[in-house]
Amino acid sequence: MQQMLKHDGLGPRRKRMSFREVLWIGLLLSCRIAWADEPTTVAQPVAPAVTQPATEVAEEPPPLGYNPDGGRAKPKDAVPFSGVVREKGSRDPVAGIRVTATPWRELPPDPNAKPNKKAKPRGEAVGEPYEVTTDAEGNFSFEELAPGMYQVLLRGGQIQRTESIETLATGKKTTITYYAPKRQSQFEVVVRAEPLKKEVSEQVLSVEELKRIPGTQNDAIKAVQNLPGVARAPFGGGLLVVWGSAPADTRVYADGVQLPRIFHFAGFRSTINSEFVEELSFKPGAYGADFGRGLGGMIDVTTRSPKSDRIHGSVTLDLIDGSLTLEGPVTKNLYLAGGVRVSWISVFLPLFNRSQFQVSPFYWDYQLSMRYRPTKADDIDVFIFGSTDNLEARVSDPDPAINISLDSRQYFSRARIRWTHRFSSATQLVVMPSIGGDVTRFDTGDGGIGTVQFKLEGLTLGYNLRTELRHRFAPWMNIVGGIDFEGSRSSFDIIVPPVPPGGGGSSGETNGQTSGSAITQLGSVRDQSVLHIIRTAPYAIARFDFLDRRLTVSPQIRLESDYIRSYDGEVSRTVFSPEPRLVISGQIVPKYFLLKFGVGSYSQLGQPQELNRAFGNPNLDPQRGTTYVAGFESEPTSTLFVQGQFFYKDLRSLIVADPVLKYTNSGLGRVIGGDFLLRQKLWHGLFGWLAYTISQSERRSSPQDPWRLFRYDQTHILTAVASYKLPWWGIEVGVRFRYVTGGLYTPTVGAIRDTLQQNWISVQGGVYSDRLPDFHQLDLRFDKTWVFNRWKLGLYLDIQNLYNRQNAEQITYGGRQDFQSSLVTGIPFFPNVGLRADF
Amino acid sequence: MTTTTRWQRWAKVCTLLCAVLTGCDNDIDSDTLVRELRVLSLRIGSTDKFSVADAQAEVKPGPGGLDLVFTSDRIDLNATVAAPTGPGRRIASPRPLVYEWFLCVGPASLFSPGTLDPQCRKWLPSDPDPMKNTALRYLGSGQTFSLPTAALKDVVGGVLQLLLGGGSSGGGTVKIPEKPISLLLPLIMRVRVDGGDPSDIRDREVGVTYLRTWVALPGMTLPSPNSNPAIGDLMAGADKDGMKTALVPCTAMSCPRNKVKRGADLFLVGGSLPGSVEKYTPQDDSGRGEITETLRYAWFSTDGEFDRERTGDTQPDNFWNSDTKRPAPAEATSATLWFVGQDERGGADARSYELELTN
Repeated sequence: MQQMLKHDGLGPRRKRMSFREVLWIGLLLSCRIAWADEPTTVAQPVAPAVTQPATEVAEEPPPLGYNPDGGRAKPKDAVPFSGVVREKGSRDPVAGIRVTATPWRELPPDPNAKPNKKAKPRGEAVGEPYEVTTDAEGNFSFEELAPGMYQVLLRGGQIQRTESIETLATGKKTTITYYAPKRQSQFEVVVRAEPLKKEVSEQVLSVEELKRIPGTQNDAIKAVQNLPGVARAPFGGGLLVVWGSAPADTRVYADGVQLPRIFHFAGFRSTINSEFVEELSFKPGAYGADFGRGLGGMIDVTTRSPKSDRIHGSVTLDLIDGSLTLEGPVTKNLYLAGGVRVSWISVFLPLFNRSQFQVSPFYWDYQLSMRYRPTKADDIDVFIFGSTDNLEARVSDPDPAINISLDSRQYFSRARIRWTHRFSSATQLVVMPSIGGDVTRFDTGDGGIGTVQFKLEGLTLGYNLRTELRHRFAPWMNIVGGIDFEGSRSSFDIIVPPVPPGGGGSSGETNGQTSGSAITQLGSVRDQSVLHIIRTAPYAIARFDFLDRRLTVSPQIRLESDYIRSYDGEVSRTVFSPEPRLVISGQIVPKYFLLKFGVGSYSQLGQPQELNRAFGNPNLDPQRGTTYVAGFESEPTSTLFVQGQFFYKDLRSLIVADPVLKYTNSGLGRVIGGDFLLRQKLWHGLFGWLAYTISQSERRSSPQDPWRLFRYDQTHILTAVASYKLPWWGIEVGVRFRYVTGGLYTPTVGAIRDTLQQNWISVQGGVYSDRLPDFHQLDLRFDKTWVFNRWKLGLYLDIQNLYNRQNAEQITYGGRQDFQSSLVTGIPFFPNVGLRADF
Repeated sequence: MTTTTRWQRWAKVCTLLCAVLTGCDNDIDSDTLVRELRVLSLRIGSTDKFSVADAQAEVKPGPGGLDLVFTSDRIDLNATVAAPTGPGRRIASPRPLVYEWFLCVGPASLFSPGTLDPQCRKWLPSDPDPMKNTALRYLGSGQTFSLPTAALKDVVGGVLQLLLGGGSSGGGTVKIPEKPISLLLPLIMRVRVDGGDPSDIRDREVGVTYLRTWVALPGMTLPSPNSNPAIGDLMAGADKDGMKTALVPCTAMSCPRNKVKRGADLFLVGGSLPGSVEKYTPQDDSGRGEITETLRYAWFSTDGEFDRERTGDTQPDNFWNSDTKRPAPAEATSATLWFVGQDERGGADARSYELELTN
């Protein structure tokens, strides 16, 4: 009661209740108990003596002073008046809204007022207000109103105060649907239950935040590049370089199913439409034993369940692509969502590309989601998704050596079904099988690339199972056990010239030298086989909470076992990798300051092409790494989060190019650094973060070689992101500023004339010994949403590189003996406009 | 299933695309401009028309076991080098040049065909003497040089032993070849000004070509050797559709001047003699049948600018504009054009033309 009094707006004077008030409240409570079996929407008059002025306080309590008599007599000529309150735009029903109907008398217009069609009619209250509250479906109903005019007021924490004048005619039932504007920001605030598995370093972001970061084209996965620990991708592409690891070292999952390809063409978009993403969890390193097979970080995209209330949909259009989603209930327990996205960048690309080199990319992807709840203890959800990328490239040049005729097609699809069964509040089982197929075709046709023929046809069938049992043995002890199984059968047929490995394979390690290959002189090599890779990893995670949960210790183990078979059994072997992990965290000052430490062992198999006999080395061992993390977390306020951590990675058996064996495991790597995050969660329309990473990533091709910087090393990475909903016109403004140390390159110090190709073979200096100028860029974004009764229309303007900084992305050499150089600059000032409609 | 090759291709395509999208307008000189010492062509085979451009050998039983026998005792090598001199040029009068030939025997070159081993790229003044570089084998000197095939025997034999002995397969399994083995041996030619400044890059240059060496194991038949193409007349005229006359090329004995008005434009049509374009069947795994060679032409000049750096048989014409970016110096009385024809298997032919610039 004290709480109620504090919020009634009457101030300290009412801290003590009078006898009359206590009596009224007692009667009110008894009335409520008595009404429990009746519809909650039955109108009750409000005592005029205690009518409070309408306010927009979010959690406004019910007005004091309900009529102790329990209501008035129903008029003889009462007319029914009912309706439903929905959120404007989304049309979602809003429960708990107080609907007040007050008899109203219209007054003649003010003769001194200027004519204004939008002006509210003049009037005054002429009777006692009636009030009901909407039920869970947003419905309300008055049953005893006399015919006449009424002022209808809608009030509640979720909506803005809405007023309307209604006329109830005699003998006529009046039903009205009200569309009330939403009160708070449309950003969804994701509230997560306390995780059973504690990660030492993890950022969870809602997709609504991620999609509004300038420069990311509404793509949630791409937005990860703005988080601490992630390097900037050259040309704004789709590479994910996390804590100094190679891009191939970081795995991306959708609900635990690995994405075989993260981004579409040139990294414009991720292959999963962000419309299906609920939240995204980014773990840069030292993550739990339930995941592995990568030396870098991991990203787990959590897809959302289809909406269950009614049919919803959305359409988005911009210069790159367009998408359509549709979702809703099929039966009471079955909900479906489907979406498709199609690119049309190939229509616009020729407008910017005036060279002979014509590229025609086309991609599309689809997602289908289904959720079924057979019982309260069981959830079954299915997610099917796939993606296709086609690319045609043509160069019609008089020089046959640089003619390019290339057709490529990459397709994948995945289907997973997840059954979640809750035995009790302490025990839960998740079983998730998934299957999928990948098709890769690459064909230069008879024209080839410079008369050389490339053909590749690969078909991969994947079959995976992830199962996990969680049990809380005691309030201080949780155990998770599971199996992470991945199997694949890849058949391939490759016809390519035997170009030597130069890029260094999956480790990203390279000798930095161009091959100087006389490619047109080479014959083609053909290799056909079937490669089986079966990976099984049972794991166990324990979590112990001590000292009233102030100290958490989580020992973990993962037993990775990889079986490889190819060339009809000529290559057949199994490699084991026990991977212990440990996470310890302690709350020094509960909620305000937490110290954490984590260490984990990881392994990663070579890429299929590296395990190939003709182009790789089937005897390669897994690459191995150990990650150490120590840091702190603090939440000074409920919306402010601060995190800082140091990390060190020890990488061994890295796959590096070898002139004779093609690839070996002789590479070594080490990464040391720290990152800092200051994150403001949604607060008064503002969210954003400041992320800073300092690191040094080094490699060497063998223990005998000196350490040198890794090709993706970026010493300083500063990213500031902020988005604010302006108090005017409903416009949101987002800014992103980035400052990053310039990328590394291997300088060319001379050249040898290749008289066959008639070009220059670079003589290169120290491998990755020079840097491009530092990168900095400001991006700006405006979002405006128009909310109509039944739908919403959003428009965004995303401006990249606001001050048109000529950021160097690459250096090219030319002229005699390559002694002239030129910088290739990145994306200039570039505005992109997009539309989005939701219903 | 993907391959490194594919990814390299993709990376190049993406890089090129990015360059196209983001702008690559730079001030780097066109490759056609020759103002200093330049290696323009290295020809394997004699200067005779349609000379053989390959080395071929057979593995035959010999007194001490299998022996590698080359079908020819010697292979002629010929360098086309530009060294512009004269009034208005940096160097007024011709200087003696030294031509040195090397064979790269670095492991990357021997086991990754068509690759120039990093150790064979050590030609900077700060690098050790190439004569002491173990990845290089000095062969001899001269603008034309006759290479004894015996000098290749131990190199080719060593590669064969490793290839057939399983040393490079990584998996311990050997795929016995069913067709003749093709090796691409990098032949390097360094040209430098005799008595020039060793630290001045304008006084030296290094060029490389690849000597295709076919090896037939017992029971195999060597393919027909590739022949060098032969360049035909270079026709020149004032406009594309107008009358054209053949430019007179330089020979070893003389270099007649073709009169051209200073600042005038020339429309050029190059080509090769009949017989230059050969048909061959690839000795590889691609399964392709008989292929007709495609020829390509590279254009060079001391002054002016070509529309295209390279052309091919389908569009053998080019437009030379001497009045735009790089006109001849006022003092210069002549300009030189070079026309290099190549087939796709390493054959080459080159010619030069002296233009007298008249006012």
